[in-house]
Amino acid sequence: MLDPLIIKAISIGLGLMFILAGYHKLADRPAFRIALLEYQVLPEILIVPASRAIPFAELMLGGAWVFGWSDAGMTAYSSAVLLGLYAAAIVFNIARGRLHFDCGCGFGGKRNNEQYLSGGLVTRNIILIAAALVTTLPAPSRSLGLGDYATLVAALLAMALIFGATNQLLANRAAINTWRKH
Amino acid sequence: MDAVVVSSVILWVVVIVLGLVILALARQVGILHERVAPAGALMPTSGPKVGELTEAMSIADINGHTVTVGGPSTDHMNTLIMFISPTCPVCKSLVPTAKSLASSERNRLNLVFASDGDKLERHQAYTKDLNLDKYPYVLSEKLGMSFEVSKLPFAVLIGVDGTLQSKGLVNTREHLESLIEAMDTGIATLQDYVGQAQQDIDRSVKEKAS
Repeated sequence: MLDPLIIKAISIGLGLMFILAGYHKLADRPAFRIALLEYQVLPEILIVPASRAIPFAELMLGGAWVFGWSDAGMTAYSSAVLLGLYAAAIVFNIARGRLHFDCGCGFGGKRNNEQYLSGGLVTRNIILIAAALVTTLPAPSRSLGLGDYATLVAALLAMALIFGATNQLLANRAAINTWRKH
Repeated sequence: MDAVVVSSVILWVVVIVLGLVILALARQVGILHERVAPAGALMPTSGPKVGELTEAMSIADINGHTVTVGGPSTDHMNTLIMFISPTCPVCKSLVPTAKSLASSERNRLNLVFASDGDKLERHQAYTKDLNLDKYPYVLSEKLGMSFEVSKLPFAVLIGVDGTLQSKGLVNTREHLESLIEAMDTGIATLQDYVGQAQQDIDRSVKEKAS
């Protein structure tokens, strides 16, 4: 049995991540269009509509997570599908050996903080999918007190820092791999 | 206040601070990778040229064993000659790097240390200090002169067929690796590489024009 606090922490964490991701894509639309083109998974005619729809979907999902709108776990399932699609697009390009373009998935950093494709990003998405699906497990209801909210804030802060550090380490590893082939 | 609450608060503070530290460290590593681009060894223009056959020299090492340096190899190994000296501070820090490189390439690389000077005891103390017993350490002014070594630490890589593969002033592991990279790719210097790329571009432009 999962404590409701754990589910709440995951929900708000994922929600903030989606909002930030959507905001980042909207803030730099040309860069996101280039990233979409580089993936070579969508026909060119769909690039512009997709570059608008994806951030919009991310913002909607983010809002749903943060405010706890979830109709029979719909938020969790659709997030898992979206993250799964990203992972599939990354795997598809890794399999073709197309690694050296910005994944369009790093955010929160400075502008030319490019993150190249790597297996680590796929792992990251799988972990996020697992986290999203965990929230659909049954949880007993219990009223949350002040202490719980303090824990929630601290846990969110810690998760955000670890997420940021993980992204940075993935970017570093990709950077090292660009000049070392063995 | 309840002891558990106090402990939780302290632990959360510690976790968040550690998270911040890890993030900062990762950022710093990232910035380092951006700023420190890999650079190769500095190759002097004087002395024997890359691709020339080196002259075989038999020299006694400081333990009295005869070592043959240069010329076609008898055991199908490449030879890396590291010119060092007890008076050179950079050499001291580079020797462990050279040893580690030699052990990771041990199936195709022999490492030989070379120096000059007549104070044998001093060199013996130096090799003991740096733990160089496993590698030949030769004292020969002639060897240094033949490769026109003017600055230390200097490294020379001789291929299996006895030709000079690469050489240069080395200060870091990247520099040493660049010598091996030069041998593997057959491109002696960055200038050669850029020159080749330029020629390729010129050729393709001409082909398109004609």
